[in-house]
Amino acid sequence: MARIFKSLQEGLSQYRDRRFDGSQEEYEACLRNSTTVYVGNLSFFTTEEQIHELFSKCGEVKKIVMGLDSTQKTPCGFCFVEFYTRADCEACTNILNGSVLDERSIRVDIDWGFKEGRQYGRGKSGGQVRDEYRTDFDQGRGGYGKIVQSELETIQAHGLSPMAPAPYGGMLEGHSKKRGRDEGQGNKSYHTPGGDKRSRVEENPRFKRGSDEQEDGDKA
Amino acid sequence: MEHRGKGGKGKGKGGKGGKDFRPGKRRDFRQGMEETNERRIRSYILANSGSESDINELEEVLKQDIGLHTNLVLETLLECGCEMPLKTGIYATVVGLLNLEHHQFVADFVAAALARYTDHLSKPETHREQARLALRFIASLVGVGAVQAGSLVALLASIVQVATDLAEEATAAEGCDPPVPNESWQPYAECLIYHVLACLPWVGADLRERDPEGLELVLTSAEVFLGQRKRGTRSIFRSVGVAQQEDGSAAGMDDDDEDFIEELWGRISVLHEGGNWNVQSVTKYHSPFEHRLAKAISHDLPAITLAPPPRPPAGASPAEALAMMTRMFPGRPRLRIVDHKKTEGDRAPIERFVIEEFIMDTLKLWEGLRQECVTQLTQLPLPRKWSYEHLLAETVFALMLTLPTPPARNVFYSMVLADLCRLKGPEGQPLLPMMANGLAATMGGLFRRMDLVDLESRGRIAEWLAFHLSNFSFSWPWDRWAHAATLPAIAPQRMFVEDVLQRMMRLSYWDRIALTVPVPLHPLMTPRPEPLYEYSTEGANADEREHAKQLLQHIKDKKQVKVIGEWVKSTLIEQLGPVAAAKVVAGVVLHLSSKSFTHLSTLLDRLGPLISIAAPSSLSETQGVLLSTAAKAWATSPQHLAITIERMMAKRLVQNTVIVDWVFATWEEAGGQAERSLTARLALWEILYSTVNKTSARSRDLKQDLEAAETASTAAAEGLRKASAQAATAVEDHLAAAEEARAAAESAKAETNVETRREAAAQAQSDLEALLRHVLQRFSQALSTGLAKALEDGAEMQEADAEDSGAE
Repeated sequence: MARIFKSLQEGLSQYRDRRFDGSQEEYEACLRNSTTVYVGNLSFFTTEEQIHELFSKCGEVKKIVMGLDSTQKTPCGFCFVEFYTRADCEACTNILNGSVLDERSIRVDIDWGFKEGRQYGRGKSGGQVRDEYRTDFDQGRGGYGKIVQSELETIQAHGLSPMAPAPYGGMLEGHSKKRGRDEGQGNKSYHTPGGDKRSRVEENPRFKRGSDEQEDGDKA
Repeated sequence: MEHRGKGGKGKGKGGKGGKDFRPGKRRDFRQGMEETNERRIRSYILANSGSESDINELEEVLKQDIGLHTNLVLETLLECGCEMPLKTGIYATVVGLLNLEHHQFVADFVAAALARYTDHLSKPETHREQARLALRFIASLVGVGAVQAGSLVALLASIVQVATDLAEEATAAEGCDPPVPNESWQPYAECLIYHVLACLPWVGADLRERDPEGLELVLTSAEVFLGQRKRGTRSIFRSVGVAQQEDGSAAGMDDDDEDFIEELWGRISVLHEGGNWNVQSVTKYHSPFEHRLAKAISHDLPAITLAPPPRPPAGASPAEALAMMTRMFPGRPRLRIVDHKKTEGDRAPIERFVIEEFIMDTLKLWEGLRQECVTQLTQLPLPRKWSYEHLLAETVFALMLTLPTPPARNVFYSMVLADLCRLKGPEGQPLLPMMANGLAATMGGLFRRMDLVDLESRGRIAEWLAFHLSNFSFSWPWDRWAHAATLPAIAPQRMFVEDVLQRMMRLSYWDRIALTVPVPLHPLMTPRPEPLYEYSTEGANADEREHAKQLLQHIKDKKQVKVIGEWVKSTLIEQLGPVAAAKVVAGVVLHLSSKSFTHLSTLLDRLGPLISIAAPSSLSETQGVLLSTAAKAWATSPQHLAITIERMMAKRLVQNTVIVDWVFATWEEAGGQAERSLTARLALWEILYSTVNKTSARSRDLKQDLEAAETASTAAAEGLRKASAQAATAVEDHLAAAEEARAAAESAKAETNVETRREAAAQAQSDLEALLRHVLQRFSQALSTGLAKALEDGAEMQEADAEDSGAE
């Protein structure tokens, strides 16, 4: 049945990577043949092993590429998962989109294929663009968005109460509407009720820091 | 449209969609029109609520389109009628209404529907539910006056006859001397009977009204068949066993022992005996139109001959033949674990069957569109106030636990169940308020009977529960299961809880789960995952430790792998011997790669050559060392151990047979289950399973590659044939000759490609066969050597048995 129903649906993916170097047709061809999914709205603390555990339920996982903050080289809330077969990849977007990992509802979408460089956040401060303009407090993602954080710091530096009416509200709304998704689709923010109290500043207990073998001695 | 030149207004018959296309480009415009029409007709047919006005509207729209787009209307209507299991009656009504004015169209339609039934029945792949739904749709056409009742009876009777013939043939063969035992005919015959009985709730009332003798005939002949079949041919596929009495016989003949055909027959008999075929869960969409439909002239179904019944290959053993046929014609999944009062209430017995059909068919046909599938499951067309959450939960579980393999991935059902608990209506009210209760009741029932649950099924339940809890903040009444920690190590309930906790930890992290789970259950958790580097401790062999230090330094100095490889060959192996050398190399590489999945993958790629030098596939002893080193490094974490071994196999650093040997050796080494570490107990089975799966996936992928290459090659050969023909007719045409040469080269290339792929596929196939043979050998060894012990410890014997059948 799905055949007729699918024929009435539009588009393969809501998201268009604006840095894709090619035409819409080429982009769609990539999407049709890709075996990679994009995973969004991850907690910064979610490990590759957790992702592997969830995604291998849809098929053998070939590769996981964590999205990293381009300055700090720490996870910034998204990743790419590559499967061996197209069927597993399609099943994965169908099944796991909207599922909960680490108490966050994750987004899973077909991706056109990982290329070196795409693992880095595209926001000015290094993380994802969505995290620049976010105005809610999200414990799994380092608290407030980057702009709000810096404004909060400014306020605190001037001795104002952080609970004062937010001077940034209007500005931020305008921005987030224009930006839309860069690494992720839509700008929906998820708040985790009862999430753990860790924040970005603390040492992440599950992420073993550093990708360089030089630091091998330490165990996080 | 042609008289409108460029810039014409372009408002043709296309209606709404026409204006989207530039009229200047006529071809695009036409194409666009067709697409628009297709979309329009399809969306009209698809989106139909079944209300009187909706059906009227659809009838009007289709009447206009029937002349122009006959095939499109026919195909779409047929596909919807057969593949929208909740709306069979709606489309049947529409067909009935169309029959009033477009008699020939409906005649063609009925023939096409019948062809669809026979087609899906004979296909080797599993499209049986498609066949059943086609038959149900045809049957529904009786009520709307499109199909002659007598001719449907003839069709159903002829299908039953095929089944009865098979039964008689088998009985005759068993009466021979020597008797030929054979049960392989039964799955197909049961499939036919199931199809016939399953359409009766949709047509019984109409048949009783229009052709009562015919209905009687179908039922009596089905009863004859039921008397001839053997019970229990599918019992090895039960996911929950029957309680045994001490003498080994089944405890009582409770209805748990019924199989799906008997159960269905029982439910149908109630309708028949009561003389009331009114089924409430089958909505009568055609009743508002009865006065119009009364004038319809119905069609006779064309006579059909079913394709000859499929037979297992000659020479197959009876058990093999039965297994093959059961796989081709699987029974209907069935689970009875929740209190009947909750699943069926005081509704008539047949209602449960109809609701189950709705649920199972929706899950099967809408699997590719999960969200749509879930939405439909929340809106089953049942009388208001009927609560069906318990039945829904139990039925989804029945599918999920289907043996040997479920129709869809386990995680698909898990996610559907989570969605069903989560979905809220527009005002924020849960759409299925009792869903969580239904799941809890099912889980509770299964947990109480965990000792009877098949081992493979037990794993699936654990996987579901861990996933489900991970979706709902891990809240679960663990206290009720706290007693599991006091049970012996091999108690199924305890092992189940261990399994669930382990899978939860993997989806989350140790500290989170330790906080969630009450302290009495903590002994069932594996320790916090922490890699162990043997050479960082004092106790390690000093020589090995020194060499490990050197190797680590070489790697940190970023020396070329080639150079390090030379060092491994000339120094390490020379001084320590091959086994210790393999241990050092594996220890160091796994230590470096212990940080994450990506570290593991990249480092195995980069340093893999070192492992191959130290542990070549020709030296199985050193290969085994790779595995025991990995097991030591990850003694705390079954997941990391399983991933490490899987990656080593994926990079072809370790052979699959070596892994199997190591699994069994570790199993035997540790003696009884009780002494084995929790990690090993959880990891071994997973490693064995993933090794077999990976080998079989490789073979499957290569087979698909081969098929693709063969298709390409056939196309290239065809191209060559055409080019040659052209070159032959056009004498001295250089272009044609060049084209022929090009096509010849292409065809030759495709041919070589096919050859290489064929070799690869054959190699993978023989690898797989060798591996499976190896696994079975090891199983039978393990069983026979451990027989004395297993007799003392009956439970363990059952374990291994169950694993054996699961592995197949």
